[in-house]
Amino acid sequence: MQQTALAGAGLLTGLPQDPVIGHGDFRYRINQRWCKADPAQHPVKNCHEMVFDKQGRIYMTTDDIRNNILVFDKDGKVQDACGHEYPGAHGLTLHDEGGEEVLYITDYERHMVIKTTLQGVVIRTFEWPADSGKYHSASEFRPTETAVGPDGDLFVADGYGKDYILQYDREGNLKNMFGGPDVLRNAHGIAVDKRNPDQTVLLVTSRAENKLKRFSPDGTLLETIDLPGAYICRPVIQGDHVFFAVLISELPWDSGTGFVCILDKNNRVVSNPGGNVPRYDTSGNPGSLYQTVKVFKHPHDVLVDTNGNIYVSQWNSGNVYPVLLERV
Amino acid sequence: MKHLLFIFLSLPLLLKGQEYRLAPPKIYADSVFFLQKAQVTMAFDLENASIHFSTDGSLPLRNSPQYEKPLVLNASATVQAISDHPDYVPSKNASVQVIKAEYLADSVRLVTRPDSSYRAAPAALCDLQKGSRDLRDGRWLGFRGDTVLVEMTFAKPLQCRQVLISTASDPGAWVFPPRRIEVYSPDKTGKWQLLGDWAVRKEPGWKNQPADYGFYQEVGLKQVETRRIRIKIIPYGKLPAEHPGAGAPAWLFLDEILFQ
Repeated sequence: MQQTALAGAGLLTGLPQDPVIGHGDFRYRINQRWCKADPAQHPVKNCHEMVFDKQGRIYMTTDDIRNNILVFDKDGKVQDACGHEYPGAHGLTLHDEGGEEVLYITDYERHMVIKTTLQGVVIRTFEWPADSGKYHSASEFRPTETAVGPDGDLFVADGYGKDYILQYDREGNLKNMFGGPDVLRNAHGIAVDKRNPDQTVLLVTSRAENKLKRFSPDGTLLETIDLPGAYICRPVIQGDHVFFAVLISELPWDSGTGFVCILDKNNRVVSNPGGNVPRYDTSGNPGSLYQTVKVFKHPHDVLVDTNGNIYVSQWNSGNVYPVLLERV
Repeated sequence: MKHLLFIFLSLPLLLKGQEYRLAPPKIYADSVFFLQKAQVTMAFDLENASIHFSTDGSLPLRNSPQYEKPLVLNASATVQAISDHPDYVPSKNASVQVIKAEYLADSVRLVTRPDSSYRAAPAALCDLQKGSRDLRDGRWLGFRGDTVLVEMTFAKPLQCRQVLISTASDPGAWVFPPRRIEVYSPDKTGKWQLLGDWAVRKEPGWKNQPADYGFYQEVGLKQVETRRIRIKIIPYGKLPAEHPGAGAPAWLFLDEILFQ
């Protein structure tokens, strides 16, 4: 109550508040106070992916096995916590299957994808592709993210493993695989892009290459989009735009140089909250992307709500909870 | 009453919000090694931000010269810069070192063969090209455990005061700088005579050492006129106890040898 009153006083007096970051129509006020979680009760190590359920609650994976999944309301209060058996909890996809919402959790330490109910009850597992001829052992399979295709097939990005994209049917049978180390480097994230109603494509991040790659659902590479300097984690589509947590903008991997990146419907950068002004040369080539303000260390995922606010979770950043960027 | 006093005292801090530090500016040299001149370019593309720099070794401050256009340098220097903005805490400094060479070898012979995975052409040691953090970028020569012998020949007689060996240090990746360097030239009878040497005085620490792919070692030389130089580089040796690779030979990497 006191904090709210004081924030209100700040608005009235016109004194400086938390800064606004971003560019063009995508500018945000930083809100480090959104999350109300108590570290003693709901600890996190690395914070990974986040999704909304139908009720507007936020589900987030963390690799702290005391509570692998935390559920927040929109005010940042913890509503629920579950999961103790996912040491490598990472990717999180929520899918409505005939009215029932289910979760797909990737666990790169257990080398599998686990489908559960919202309450954490395991429905099915998707194991390492032993018969694919591309993998010799389960330990080579370290999946980072999933996406559900229009016909219910599950696409799995093996982003910490061999960089293949694996397509499973609903029963967990491997139907197809593409990508791999010759095509993708650190295939960290995947999303089904339906922005063009005439063409469904898969967006895959090739994080170590600083590239976003577009594939047809059968695995044909359609286009490569350069984002020089941006180690993009996963594509998050909201409306006509694609949002990314950028883990770092220079090596080493723990350089603490991350920010958020936003592309328009033509996949051109329009805003870099925490990063530099996006610019393209006369030939349409993007300039280098880099951190300018140390708001984040290592953003690992973004979630965008219907008001355009962005929730940012971070990896290896001192056990911090998500930060809210309030659109202004 | 106590609550009101707390609010009153905390008001300035709470209303100001959290302070954020700027990231350092980007700073690039067109060539880390150069014969005539080097150009240093800086970038920090944030509205109302500025870059301030120094070239004399002092730490740059808000009142240091403001960067407006690329710097052209004709002597070795370390350029340091910070970014500044009225709404943020100034950045920590970024730096780039540029090193002037007086002489380059006209030919290089590797007496010791590099490892097949890191086998740049011998001429990479005198091409003024700095290797990147990617040790497979074709600019690095990698050796695992062997004492390295390099012979360099000059078209014109050489008289120099020191040689600079550019190496790398990345203990986490098993890459260590050398332990000893010896530089020779032939005497009148053709026998190699020592011109200068350098050796580690104290066992270097390796724990929590950040990777450094611009690790330079200078060796002072007796001034003699010569057209041939032999350089003997003794590597770190076995990886120390407690290192994940303890007992295995450390890697040694070279990307340039300059004469000044």
